[in-house]
Amino acid sequence: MNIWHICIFELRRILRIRSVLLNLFILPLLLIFILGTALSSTMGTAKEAIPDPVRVGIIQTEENSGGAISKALNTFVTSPAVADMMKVQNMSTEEEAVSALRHGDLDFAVIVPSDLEEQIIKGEEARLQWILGKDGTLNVVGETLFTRFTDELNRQVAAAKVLGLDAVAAMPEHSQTNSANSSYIAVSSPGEVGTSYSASQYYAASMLAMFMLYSGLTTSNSLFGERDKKTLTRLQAAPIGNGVIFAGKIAGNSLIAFLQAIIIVLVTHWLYGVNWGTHPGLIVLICVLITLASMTLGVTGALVCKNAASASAALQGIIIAMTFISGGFTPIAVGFVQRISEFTVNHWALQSFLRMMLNAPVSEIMYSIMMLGLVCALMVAAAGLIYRKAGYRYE
Amino acid sequence: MAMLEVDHVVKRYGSKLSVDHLNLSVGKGEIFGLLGPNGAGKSSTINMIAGLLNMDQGEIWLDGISVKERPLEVKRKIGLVPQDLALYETMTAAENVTFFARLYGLRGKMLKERVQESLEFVGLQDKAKDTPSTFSGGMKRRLNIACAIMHRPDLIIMDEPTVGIDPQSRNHILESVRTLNQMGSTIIYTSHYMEEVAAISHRVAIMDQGHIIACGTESELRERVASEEKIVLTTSGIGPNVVEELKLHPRVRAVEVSDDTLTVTLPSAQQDLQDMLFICSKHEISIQSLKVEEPDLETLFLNLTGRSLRD
Repeated sequence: MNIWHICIFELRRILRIRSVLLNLFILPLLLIFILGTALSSTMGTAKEAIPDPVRVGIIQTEENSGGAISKALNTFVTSPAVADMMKVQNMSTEEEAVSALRHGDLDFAVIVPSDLEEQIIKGEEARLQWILGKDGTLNVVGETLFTRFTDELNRQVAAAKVLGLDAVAAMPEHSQTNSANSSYIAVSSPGEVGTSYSASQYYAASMLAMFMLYSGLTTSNSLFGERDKKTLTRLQAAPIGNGVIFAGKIAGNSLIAFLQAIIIVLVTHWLYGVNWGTHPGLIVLICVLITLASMTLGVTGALVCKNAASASAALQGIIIAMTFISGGFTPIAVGFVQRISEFTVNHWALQSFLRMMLNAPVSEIMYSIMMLGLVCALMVAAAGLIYRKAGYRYE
Repeated sequence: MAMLEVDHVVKRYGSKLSVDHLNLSVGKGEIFGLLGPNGAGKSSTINMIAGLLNMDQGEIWLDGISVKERPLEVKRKIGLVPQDLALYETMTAAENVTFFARLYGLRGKMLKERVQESLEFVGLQDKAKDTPSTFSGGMKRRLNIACAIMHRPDLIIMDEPTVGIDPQSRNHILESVRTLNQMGSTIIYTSHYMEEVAAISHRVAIMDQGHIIACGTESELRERVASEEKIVLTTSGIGPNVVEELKLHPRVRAVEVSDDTLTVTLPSAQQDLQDMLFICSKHEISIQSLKVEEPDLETLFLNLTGRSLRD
């Protein structure tokens, strides 16, 4: 019963502090709006994610312009699937292509080596040469398309070597046709293929996780506040155990974190049109786990640090670092960073939310939630050990 | 019958001995003053009685209940007024008192009545809906008391309850202490103000270095240093002859001259005052003021330890 009194009192006390209200409720909504709007061009639906056609310059010498390779290349670039993705200009010299790339008239250029046919006849691997443009994404598209072309050539040469020319000739031409007609770039996303999340959705999920963790900062400040304002002396002089005081305060702060989650989810859904998926029960479960992690962080900070200021600095650093590493501010496509992020609360919280937003299978969502639970369990165990050793006392 | 028994209690902070085999007994209905300089062990003693600190050795009994064995039961009988203001600044006066009252198990109608009663007792009934951030220092001190008495404790521990407040609020608090005592509460009162402790306490204990070095009623303690009194005269034209003649008086123990002040130490000022005034008039010394200094608790502490209470 006393836990409940302390919990409710804590809730009322914190909700009267304007700066806390601003930090926990207004700031996340504002950030989600700003980031979601400002970075909407970098994320979007699957349709929006298809890049513009790449302007490609193909440099062929006169010697190989009439040959079989040249014909195959022309067939490839004029096939409907490829033609949708690139606009081709034929060029005779490398200098001309470089100049066009510099002036922005081309995005990417391919050099067909003069001895390409000769190499193929010798049984060597067919390779084209690239001249890269300014835009990395368009370069990747160009490289992918033309690598597909050379791969197909190499496959046919290999088949001829093994099976003989007659066998290759007898093969239906569908493979080449298919290779030219099918799209080599499939816009996919974690979860269900063909759908994607918007910037607002992404930042709603990442900011929700980050600001729920910030509730731990409120908890830490609150625990220090009782000591600094000497009210802990009076609380501990009352006929209640230390555990009751501690549990009551944690419960109060947990309710605030949960209230924060409800407000962010509902407001982003109604005002920003964020689709949180179709599993409200799982959203609650994720929020419970993040709250647990948040309280654990706050408690650890309060028990380990010497004063509120150092705890606040340490916790802010940890929360910002975890959010950054997990791609909460912007996705980071660096292998080792992604590995490290798997040890953070934010990573698994973000993955859980995103999978729900993408209507991924429940088993896939549950995997992320269970990993989040595992991280939380480790944190709780560490905090439990620290509490047993340090305790929460007035001195 | 004793309300509180402190039996050979020891408290150490690392290698430092804060409370050293302390023995103390406070009777039911008593106002017990605890005096001592900073670091004497007063706060540690109080915190151990209130169950805030664990003792390393010994035992404390409150109304026959062991603090070690049944701490929550003991806490229910105690009202602690801490030296530092222990209030929630963003909550109203009534909310502050209500919160702590609930922790002592008060509910419903009784809770409301006791909260109102406590605020009335400290004269803050009109400020019930105001937050302590708008209060003066004295009002905060009074609210600090209200938060400790709403459950009508058997023992009220007041740790320096009048620090840094105006004389009016101080008088109000001292009057409250007497009233609470008349209502049946036993009170342990610590203060730096000796006059305050002496004025309201039935008995006083003086602590130093974790020990009780003197304990008794104010008159009992005074008797221990009552062998000397001082007559302090503010005069003009003190010459060597008058000093010599004063020293020749059979009961004068010492004569000190400092600027225009002449201090004569003797066993009883009342008995020899006329002789002193006669000697002064014989040497045509005009007396501007006269004061008889009786020994006080400060003098006693000085005699016992060689240091001042406020050191």
